[in-house]
Amino acid sequence: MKTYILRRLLQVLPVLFLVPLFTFLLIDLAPGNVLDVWKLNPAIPTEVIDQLTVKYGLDQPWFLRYAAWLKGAVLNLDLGYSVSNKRPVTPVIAERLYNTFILALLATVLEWLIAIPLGILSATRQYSWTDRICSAIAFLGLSIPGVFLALLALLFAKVTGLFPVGGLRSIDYDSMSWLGKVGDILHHLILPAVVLAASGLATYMRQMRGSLLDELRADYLTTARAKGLGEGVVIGKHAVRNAINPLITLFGFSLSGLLSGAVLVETVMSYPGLGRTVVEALFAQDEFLVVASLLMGTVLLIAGNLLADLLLAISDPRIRLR
Amino acid sequence: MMRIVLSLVAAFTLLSFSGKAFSEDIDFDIATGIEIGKPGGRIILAALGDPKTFNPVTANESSSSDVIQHIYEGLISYHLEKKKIVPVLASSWEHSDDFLTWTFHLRKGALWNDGTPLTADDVIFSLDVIYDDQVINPARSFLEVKGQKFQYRKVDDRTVEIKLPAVYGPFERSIATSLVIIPKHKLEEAWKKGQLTEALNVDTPPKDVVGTGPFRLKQYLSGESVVLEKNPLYWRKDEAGNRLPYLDEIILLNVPDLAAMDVAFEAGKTDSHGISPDKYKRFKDQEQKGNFTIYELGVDLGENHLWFNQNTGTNPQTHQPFVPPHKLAWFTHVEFRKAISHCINREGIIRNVFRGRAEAIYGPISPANTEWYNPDIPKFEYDLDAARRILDSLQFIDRNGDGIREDPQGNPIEFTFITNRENGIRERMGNIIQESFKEAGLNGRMKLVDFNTLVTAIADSFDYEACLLGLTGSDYPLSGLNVYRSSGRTHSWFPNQKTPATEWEAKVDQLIEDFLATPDDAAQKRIWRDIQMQYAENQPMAWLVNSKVYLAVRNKFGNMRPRVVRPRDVWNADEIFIKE
Repeated sequence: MKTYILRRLLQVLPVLFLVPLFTFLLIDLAPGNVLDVWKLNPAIPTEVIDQLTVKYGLDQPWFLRYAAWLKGAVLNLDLGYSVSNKRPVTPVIAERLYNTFILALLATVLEWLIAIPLGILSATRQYSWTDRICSAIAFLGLSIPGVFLALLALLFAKVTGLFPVGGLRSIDYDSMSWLGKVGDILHHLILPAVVLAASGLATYMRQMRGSLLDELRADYLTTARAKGLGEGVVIGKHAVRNAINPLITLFGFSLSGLLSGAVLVETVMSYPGLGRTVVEALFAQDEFLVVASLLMGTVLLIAGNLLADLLLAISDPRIRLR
Repeated sequence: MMRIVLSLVAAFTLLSFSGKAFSEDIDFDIATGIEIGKPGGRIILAALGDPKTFNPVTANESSSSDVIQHIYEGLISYHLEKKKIVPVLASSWEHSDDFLTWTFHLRKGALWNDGTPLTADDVIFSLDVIYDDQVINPARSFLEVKGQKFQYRKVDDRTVEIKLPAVYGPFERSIATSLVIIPKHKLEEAWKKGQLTEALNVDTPPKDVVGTGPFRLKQYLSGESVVLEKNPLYWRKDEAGNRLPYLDEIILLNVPDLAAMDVAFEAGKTDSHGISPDKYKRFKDQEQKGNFTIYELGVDLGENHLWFNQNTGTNPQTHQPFVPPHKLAWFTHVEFRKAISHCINREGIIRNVFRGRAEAIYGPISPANTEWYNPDIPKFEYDLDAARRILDSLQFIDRNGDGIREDPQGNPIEFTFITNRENGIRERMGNIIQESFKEAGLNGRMKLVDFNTLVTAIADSFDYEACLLGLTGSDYPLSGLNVYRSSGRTHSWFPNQKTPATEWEAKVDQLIEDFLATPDDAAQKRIWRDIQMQYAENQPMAWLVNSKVYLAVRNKFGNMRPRVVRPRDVWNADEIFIKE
């Protein structure tokens, strides 16, 4: 197992060098640079733009910038300087990472807590009204674009006044009790989390239903029933255990997807997450910040896949990792 | 134990002593002509984006200056209502008869918000920092005359003398807008280590963000909000003797875009909101229910315009001219540009794009800038017949009957104007302009490009024919010299000229030099009337329309006097209070 993990980690090393390399190249190919917003402002003197161009090496070819960045990243774990944020990249990402993390966590928990039971219910009562209603909800969740759902949620919050129209906490947060603070944050989180969870929820539910249906037709279940096992044990212990494998793989992929999915929800619903920082960096062509965020996405994707493989090995004794 | 008690006592006496000494000795500025308010409450504003720095010297984006302006101050400032320079940290100042020596007397007893007295050393330090080549800052170029730095020295603890190498017309206005006083006792160390740019970034603990302004930083949460709280040591009082500011807090809520800003105001989360003309009715209908008033502040300072690339240079790599010679000949012809201005259906744009909430403009300074605008400039209004007559007289005639005119050499008059796709309003203006071009027999087509592509085209590669864009304006022409001067970077139609390409541009350059050498206000204004005349007569760009500016503010605020110059609502934040 240990050698397997080590080998997998060694395999990803080249990726960690190549992703930034291509990012630098692509940003260089796109017209303009991070100073463009200032270039059009008459009140910013030309000397300032020239000095900043030299200071941040924007007058140098992209591969030299990549080399300089790589040196700093490898030797000092320094991910570079965000010109548009006037700060090193690491704190810019760190301060938002936590917000996106709790949003993604809540969304994931919602997805799994609702999707798995509903998927099982749908499969065991195939073609019943319960199944049809669940399927209808799933198709709705899959087919409504995230933007639209986010806008609907925002409208709902504005019209009813039941939920805040954005942000992570109230203005009076600091004067609240401990319990009040938790409640306040949850109150702000619930709508974005539901929107973020919607499409994943539908996917998981349909996946669970499908793979459980496959298992339900298997001979070993007939054997189990013939042995006199109760229906709960037959489904819960045998069928679901076998049907869950594809979901674990999906979970691995979803880790990196949560970050990109959150971009949309964060922007529409004014949520102070990392996604917004990344999108702003992309539009501003803030090189190092884009590189760092892509790198993080890559790491999450790799880690998610590795985690899924390990979880599979634990959940399914037939799988051996070498 | 005894030592601790003793030092505590010492610290206590020191504190009470210094507190007493300074609070009684402050040379307060009395705010006259304002409604007497009462302390307490807060105002909540929306802000697009986070502040990037709390350093007033290196800040060059509005998301930072929106916060910083309440924390730091200059020696003097320009009061738009009184139309004169008013004292801030300098309670008085005078100049020699030749306008070369200026003496500033610091406000007696003025304190930094950590309790340290403000002295002449702080002013000297601020100038040292601005003039330091290692500190990249936008202020320096406005604090130089003929490329030379000012000379300055401390006379005594409360007096600073600034000597100019030559007369500098806009000296007072430059000091007012560009010289921000920063605390030597907090920043000297970082500056000496060459880290001033990095010092005072948004990770700095609030108590270390030390200014003299009416508010101080209380809390900053990235992506969420900035909370500013009352500075109890502020140097202003009302006529009843209440110390300003009245408000306890100013809160700037971070919202990602304009749509979210609309929603935040409608949901009651914010107290003040700029309304774009197309949304006027939506908000007007809610005035009663939302308990707010929409103020009409007149037309915007910023402008929309269309210009042709008149750059006579060649691409250094391909050695091809930036603009094909036959097209350059059209673009540099003033009559052609007048015809283009006659093609701009400003009324149509106002009606269809701005729902009637805009005004046609014909020159480089917005009519909103009442002090500097010249109403007598010639106006080349929408008049397709006039446009056709001019084009005919230039021998630009449709010779082959395809509906498009050709120049005498037979080249069809066709060109592409670019604009950025992110801006829906410009796209709609462009559509209307295209139509009129076609009616006049010109094949002028709009092309939508990304913002960065546009900036590269107009500022670096010069590979474009025409461009539709808007620039932000200001209330004082000095900050726009980059536009007006032929050597300017935002002299869009032909930037960075080594020597003026045309006679009229040379004339304008000379007028600007005259302005910079004239301390007399009336003379300055005469000069700018001439500059506007030159611009309007030569039409280097066709000016389009300026939208009207609307600001919605909740009714609960007293001394709320919105204006078109930013910040529109809280420019007098220390005077604003909550009624009842």
